[in-house]
Amino acid sequence: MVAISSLTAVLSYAIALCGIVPLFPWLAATPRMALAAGLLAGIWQERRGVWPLKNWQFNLAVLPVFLYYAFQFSRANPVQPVVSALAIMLAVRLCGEKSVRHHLQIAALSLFCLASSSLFDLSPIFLLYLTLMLLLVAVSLVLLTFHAQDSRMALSRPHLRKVLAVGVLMPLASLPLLLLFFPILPRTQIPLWNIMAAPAARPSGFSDKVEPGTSATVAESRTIAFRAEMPRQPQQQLYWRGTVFNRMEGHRWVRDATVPSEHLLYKGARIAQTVYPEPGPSRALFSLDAPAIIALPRARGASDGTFEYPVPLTRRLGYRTESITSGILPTAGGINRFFYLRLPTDIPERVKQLAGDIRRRGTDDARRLELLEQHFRNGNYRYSMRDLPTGEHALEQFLFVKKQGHCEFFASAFALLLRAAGVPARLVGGYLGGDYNDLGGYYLVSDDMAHVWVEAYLEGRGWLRVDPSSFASNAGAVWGDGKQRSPAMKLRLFLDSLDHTWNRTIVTYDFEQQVEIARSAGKRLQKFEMGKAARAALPYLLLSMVLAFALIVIVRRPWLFASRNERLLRRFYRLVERDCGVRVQPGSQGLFETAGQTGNARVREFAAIYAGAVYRDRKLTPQEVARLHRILEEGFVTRT
Amino acid sequence: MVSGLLAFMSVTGYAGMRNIKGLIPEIVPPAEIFAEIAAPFRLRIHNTKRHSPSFLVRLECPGGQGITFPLIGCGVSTEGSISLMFPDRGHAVLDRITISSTFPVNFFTRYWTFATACRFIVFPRLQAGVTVGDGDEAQRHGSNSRQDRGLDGELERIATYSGREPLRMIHWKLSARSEELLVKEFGRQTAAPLVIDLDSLPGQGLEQRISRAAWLVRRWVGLRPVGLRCNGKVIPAETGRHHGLKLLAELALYGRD
Repeated sequence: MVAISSLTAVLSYAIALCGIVPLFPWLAATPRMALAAGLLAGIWQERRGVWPLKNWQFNLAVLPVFLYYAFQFSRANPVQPVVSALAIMLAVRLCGEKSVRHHLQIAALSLFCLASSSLFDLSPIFLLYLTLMLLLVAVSLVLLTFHAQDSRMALSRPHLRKVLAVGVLMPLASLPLLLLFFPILPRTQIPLWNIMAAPAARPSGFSDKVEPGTSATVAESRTIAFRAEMPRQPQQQLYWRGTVFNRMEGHRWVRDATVPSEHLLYKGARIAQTVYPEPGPSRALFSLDAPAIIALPRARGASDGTFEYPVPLTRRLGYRTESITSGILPTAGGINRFFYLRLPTDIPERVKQLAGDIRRRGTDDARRLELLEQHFRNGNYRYSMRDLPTGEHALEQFLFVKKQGHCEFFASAFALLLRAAGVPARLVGGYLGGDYNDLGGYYLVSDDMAHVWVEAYLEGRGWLRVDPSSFASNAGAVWGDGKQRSPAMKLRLFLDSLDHTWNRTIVTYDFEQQVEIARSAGKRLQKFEMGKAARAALPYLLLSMVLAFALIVIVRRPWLFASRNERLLRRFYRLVERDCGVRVQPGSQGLFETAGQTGNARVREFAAIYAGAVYRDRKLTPQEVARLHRILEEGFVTRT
Repeated sequence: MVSGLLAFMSVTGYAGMRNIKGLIPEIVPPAEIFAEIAAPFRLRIHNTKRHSPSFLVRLECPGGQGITFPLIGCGVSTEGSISLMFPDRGHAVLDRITISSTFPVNFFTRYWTFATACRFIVFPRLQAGVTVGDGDEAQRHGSNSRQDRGLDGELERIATYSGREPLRMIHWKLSARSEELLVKEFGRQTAAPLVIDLDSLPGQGLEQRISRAAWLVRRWVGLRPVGLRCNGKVIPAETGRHHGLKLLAELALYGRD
């Protein structure tokens, strides 16, 4: 026999450990010691079965500690006091005597401890602890139900096995239901675990303006910008279009909201992606350059091939998009050349001279573009994030003096020169590259991949993507494909794939997607072609019918394959009911009783022959069978 | 998270419902139930489910007393007993029995009420204190010192024929070996019948007399014929448990029908 109380105690300690272990590294020394001492004291007292201190004494003792942490709490330091108080409360519960209520409190406090550990570090291991804890809590709840009935209850091992099996089965059986409920339930936008750690503003590599020369160095941030699920693409095609900067103001490029209308033609093979941006202040929706469609309710597309969400993307979502990656965007009809040639008045003289030179030498826009490319290629420009030109004349310095800068310098200068040389041009802001995660089948794009390139308009061809940064003398070294992935990088990608799976299936699944699924189901239903669908479904239908038939045969075998005697008797009963109007109750009424009830001679004859054989445990002779059949064929209708 | 909780609640709800389904309770009263004395009732429960055992099932009678079975295996019957006390004599009925369970988690109690037709008679409260002839004799139960001779008791001794004894008492085999006639002497087995006259019993009021009469019946009916005279009705004196129950039932229902 196993005492339920000792089992519930063991489970409570295990649950507590699931909450303590992930939180332990983040705790201060006092709560750490309290937890360890509480756990050990609890186990020791449990073994001895003696509880010298009462729970109310513990509660009283913990009150000043609680007050201390309450005073420590502030807006600047909200987490540590709360977590410490939680840990100490758990420690106190662990070392006191435990009733059912106390066991439940331990489970709740442990869950809070585990949840608060996610404020410090939300790693996939958290999920492991959570799963383990929920499983243990489920088993513990079942055992506590027994404990509540009788605290001294003991079960034999076979009985206990059954109880434990139910405890384990219940959470497992909940899983399919969870999957059923998850897609249909409305949900909140507040994340459960890291409410306090909700991202407010992420230091973004992507901004709403391009302003080279604001600082001498640029810090690279590895913060994730977005993930894009798609098949692997050639690395040189990974230009992620976000926004277009179409106006130069002073020495910076900005986006003029009044984009002149033009009709872009998306020709060629489309690459489908599902993009999951990280929450941030930006409204731009990214997609491989150039996106033909972005399927996201409320998303707005502009005529320059960019898409925007009406509000900043402060919550997780995902959207599907299709892109043409040819690098050229043909237009139907022309464009507003004047708009894409506008320049500020205070362009440095040297820039004007260089542009004028190109303009003169080039006979058409294509030639001018080529000349400018040559200038950049031969000009020994270097790509660098350090020692950058700064100040108002940063671009001029970049072009003629320092000759080193990052993509913003290259693109700004290139577009400026193009416009000055009379070629319509604009800047495209987005990202370049991405780490492909083979496990998750997606590109991981981080902020350090933010990039700006140029689109030049060539009459008859359309907008042509030109990346001036690639003309840098050290471009090969900077963007070389030959980067070997280190083990740390591989691990990061692995962990990220788990994180992404969580985000994709749990966090980004929102009401809009629910609507989307309902809508697409509706569409599919509208497109439903009867004949085609029937043909497709026929094999399954047949198979299920055969299976159902087999099941019926197996279950109802005695009824379907009745013996000859039973068939005779069944037919006899049917006829008696039909012809004599007597309600037959086989089983509760004997054959002779039925016969007597009808008062019919032939019924009695049948009963006599049948019972004469069957009730005496001998087979009906062929003559008897023939006679019975004849009686049945004639029926029992009495003609008067 | 909400989905998870809902799913878990659905599963526990279903498990709880299934736990108390397919259970057939039965209540078996004891043969004798006296007013104001706790009587052990047997509660039996049968799990008709073929595959799933039932856990923590509580059977409860209308009085509130119940019994909890931690586990009832598939197709298994289990029984326990509870003590029920009835304040008054007469007909009594336990018309329903409640099966309840807090399983699987102790948040809700699910219950199921079954109609039972458990009818029985509560015999009157027993009150000792009346002695009716031959009382001492019964005290010496098991001794052989009875004075009366009879024909239906045990063979007590062999004596010389005095001329009074019936001839069939002569022990011919022994007499043949000796010179005089010897007879077998038997003890008397049958005690004098006791007929309880309800109206002539001492006691304050009818209930007390009935209680005393019930005590007398219970006390004597196994040892000597007991009869009952009440309300002009006479039940002839007989012995035996069955007769005793008949008399007790008569007393229990006196003035109640």
